[in-house]
Amino acid sequence: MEYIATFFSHYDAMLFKKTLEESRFRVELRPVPRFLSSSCGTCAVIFPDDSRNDEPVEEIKNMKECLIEMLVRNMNGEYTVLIDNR
Amino acid sequence: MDNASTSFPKPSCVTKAIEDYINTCGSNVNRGSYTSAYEAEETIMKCRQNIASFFGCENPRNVIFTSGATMGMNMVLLGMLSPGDHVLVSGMEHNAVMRPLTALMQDGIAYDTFQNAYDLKGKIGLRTKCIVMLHGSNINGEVFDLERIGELAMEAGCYFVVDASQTAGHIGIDFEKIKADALVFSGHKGLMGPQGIGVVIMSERMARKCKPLIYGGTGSRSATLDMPEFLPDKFEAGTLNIPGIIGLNAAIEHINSIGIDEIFSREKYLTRLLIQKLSGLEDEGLIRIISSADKDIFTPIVLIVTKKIDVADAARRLDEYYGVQTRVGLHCAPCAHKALGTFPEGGIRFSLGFDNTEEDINMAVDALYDICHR
Repeated sequence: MEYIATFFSHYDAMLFKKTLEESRFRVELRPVPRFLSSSCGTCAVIFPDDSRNDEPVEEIKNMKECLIEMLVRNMNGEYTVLIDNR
Repeated sequence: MDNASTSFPKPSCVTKAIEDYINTCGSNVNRGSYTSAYEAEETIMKCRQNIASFFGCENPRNVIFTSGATMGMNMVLLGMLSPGDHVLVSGMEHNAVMRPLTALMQDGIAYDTFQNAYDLKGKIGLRTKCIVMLHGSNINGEVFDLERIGELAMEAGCYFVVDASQTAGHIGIDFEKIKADALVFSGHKGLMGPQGIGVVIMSERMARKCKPLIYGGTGSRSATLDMPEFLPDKFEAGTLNIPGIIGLNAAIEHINSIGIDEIFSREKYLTRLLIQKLSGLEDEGLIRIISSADKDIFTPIVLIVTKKIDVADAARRLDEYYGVQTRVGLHCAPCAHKALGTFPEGGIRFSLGFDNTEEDINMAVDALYDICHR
């Protein structure tokens, strides 16, 4: 399972990665799947520790400084929108 | 000795950072989504964070990169003023402030000058939108008390725009403390970065009020034709001066490693030494020295007027025969020279930097003695 955060700007993508990595999550920046967003071209893929049932949703909801467009859960190719700021 | 125009030499870490970026990375930022682009973006973000921290700004997002202080000042003034607005401006401003304001008069924007905080208070009217002033003069090194002006601006509900081009990197500045709405400065003078990079630190209310000067691609909200409203993208259309930002980042880290207090202390000492050594020529009636070195806080600038020889000729001889580089003339600040009584001839400006030495000063003074006594 992975989470994908999309953004309005690269600035927020970089800030998001830095902030979440300071927590405990592994985050990678990648080109955003076009069916998800056509905003800034970059997304952050978050890899939670499945063995600990570790979800980043609350942490992301509490990020005040970072503007995210959407947070989507990808469970085996099934995408669920968890946060939508469009 | 022309650091007020641009600092030289630049720290070697600045040139190395720029060279490394160009040779090993070279990516644009906020456009491609690949490894080297993200690496460059990390450094840009670090630069915003370093600048925010250095200038006491809470949010790095409010650090806007420009091509220089002139661009930044134009961006703020043209972006936030409307017909019918009134502006109060100090009498010592650089043309980066005066020329946009003069041009805006054609659009029905008026301005008046003020001398000090007391004078300012009496001149704020119902239509006064903005107070603009420099932190440090580029002519005589005088540094002005921004906190009191910022308080007056806040009480009156006016925006407060500060030109810190001559003080950034020489003296500590706290953006929140001075209650500025825009702090405008160049990266290539006291901050020792490369030319072609400047910064505007903008308050939230200024960011909401100000329209962009330049419209174009930002790599954000790409599906829409409107400029984004969020920072920093609202004011950063087009490709950024990435080598400039990377160089500026290295420069700020270099300054932090020395400490701004150490820099100020050293430059204060050098300036007073220069004046002390020049005083003999003044006693002989051959020059007039104009400086602010009798105050506690000033920037490392000394203006001199030669009495028996044309200032331009003296400056030429300093350079051609002795290798002493200064700037002669009006220094893009005719209003300041009028205020100091040196208009229209101007003067020779010696502007020191952290890397100047006692030897430089001795050489410059000896050269001037020779020139004045021929």
